[in-house]
Amino acid sequence: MTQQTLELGRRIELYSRDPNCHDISVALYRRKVGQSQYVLVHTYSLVDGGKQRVNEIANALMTRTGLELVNDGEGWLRFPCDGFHQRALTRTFLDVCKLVLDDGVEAEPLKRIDKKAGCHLIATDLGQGVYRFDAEESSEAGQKRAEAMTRGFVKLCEMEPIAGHKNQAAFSCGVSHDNLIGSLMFRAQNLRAVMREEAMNASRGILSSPSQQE
Amino acid sequence: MFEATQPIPSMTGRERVLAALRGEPVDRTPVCNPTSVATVELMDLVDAHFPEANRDAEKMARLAATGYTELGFDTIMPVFTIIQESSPLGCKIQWETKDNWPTVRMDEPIWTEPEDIKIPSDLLTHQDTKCVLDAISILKKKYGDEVAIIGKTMGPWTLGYHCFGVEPFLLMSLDDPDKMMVCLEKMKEITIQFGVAQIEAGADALTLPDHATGDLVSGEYYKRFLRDMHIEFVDLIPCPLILHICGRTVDRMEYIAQTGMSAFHFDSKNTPQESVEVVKDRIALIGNINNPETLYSKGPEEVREEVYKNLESSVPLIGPECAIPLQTPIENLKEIPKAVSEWHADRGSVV
Repeated sequence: MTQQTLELGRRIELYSRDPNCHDISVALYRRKVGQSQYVLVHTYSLVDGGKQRVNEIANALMTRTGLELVNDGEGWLRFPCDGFHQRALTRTFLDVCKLVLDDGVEAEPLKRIDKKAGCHLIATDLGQGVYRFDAEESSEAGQKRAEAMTRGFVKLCEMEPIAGHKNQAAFSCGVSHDNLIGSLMFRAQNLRAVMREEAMNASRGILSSPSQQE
Repeated sequence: MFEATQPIPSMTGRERVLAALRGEPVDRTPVCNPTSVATVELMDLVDAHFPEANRDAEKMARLAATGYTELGFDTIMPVFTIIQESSPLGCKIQWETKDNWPTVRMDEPIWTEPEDIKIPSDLLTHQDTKCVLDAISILKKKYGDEVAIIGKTMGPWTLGYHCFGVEPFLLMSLDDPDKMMVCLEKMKEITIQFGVAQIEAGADALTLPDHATGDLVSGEYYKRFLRDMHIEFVDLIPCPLILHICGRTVDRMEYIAQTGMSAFHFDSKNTPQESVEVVKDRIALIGNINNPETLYSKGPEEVREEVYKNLESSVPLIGPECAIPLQTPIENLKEIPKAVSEWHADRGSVV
């Protein structure tokens, strides 16, 4: 019997119902090739527009994360640093899947307004994968928010905190990732919302026992 | 369990499952899903999505068949949800969307007294039960020689939750046990009618969920209210029956083993070893692969570990512990039959 499902490696994220394309499910798969980790955006849906939607998501993901196309003709992608930033990637994937992508997307700037700080927060690439987060205006609230954003990035991008610098964090690969930082600034500002959404998604689609049902 | 002294000739999935349910030798341990293995990706693959795939027989059959055609299980089980008979009974159903389970609105019960229990004349012709019967017929015709087709009929305890509400039903068991027994007696007719109709449609075996779960009732409650009724089902529903109860159930497995049912579909809250020790060879055990932590959240390596743990404990049929989460990765499900085959190949063994 011929199976239609493919050997795509390990599924690392799933957007189970895409309202922008006939409610199809779109998944992100990962496989190891040599020392590199490749990822693929994939849907099993054969609905009209499904493949195009997958291409749009893959293109947007490249723009928003800095992933580059592996020249295998199959659409696999990888980080140029040859590292793998799974948490940041899957979060960005879910955010990209929520967008209407007819006109593509642009990379996000390393600057974002923060209501609580009352000014912009700015990320500065210090080289070798290290980023510093500052408030545009010097104030106590601004400093606190910049430090909170740093902590947000440590969790969201699995970055390493820099000892003695509460507003700095580094990618372990030692390479800059401006696209990822720009894409996730709004998430790093409000980590609780991320956690809430993740908890909600994790419980969806699980059949509860009678004692757990509402 | 039989100890095979001669090599067993290669069996079809159907032969393998039915033999294991009878406690007879098999060429390898069967991979069996007494409950749903549908996922959103499989829905996309065959263009049969929830909630429609629970109400349209063609779609239901198409989605269920992927358990065999894509995942490589020895069974096909089309009754994905818990709502099929409660819908014609009049319960309110929350149909949800593709990526969530349709469910019964148990907070809006339809019955309070035994006299309220009425079996509607359209129990077996209502869209939601007929869909199951038609899907079983389709699957029997197409795959009936290859794999076991498993149906599902809800037991009276579960129907009690659906129709009386969980809390009122449980309180009734404390406040008025006699009334409770009357209710169970009346509702058992629904279980029998729907079960027999599925056998006539072509089901080889039936799952019978009756959620006297560890977190809601004690093992003694199971004995008092359900054991004898489950013994009766063995006589009244003429096919192998697979009792399904979620949660920690070791304290009632002794009573379950006395029912004469063919198998017990058990939860990962019970270890395979302790469960096998209680039931011995009186009833086959199925399941135990953890859903939320392993199949849904981990990877093939961890799935394989759990499969091996069950095989090494002599669990005779391997499968997920309950209906799998709809977002479960396909590669984890495919790993179950793969691991079973490789475990046997490594040992050159039959069971």
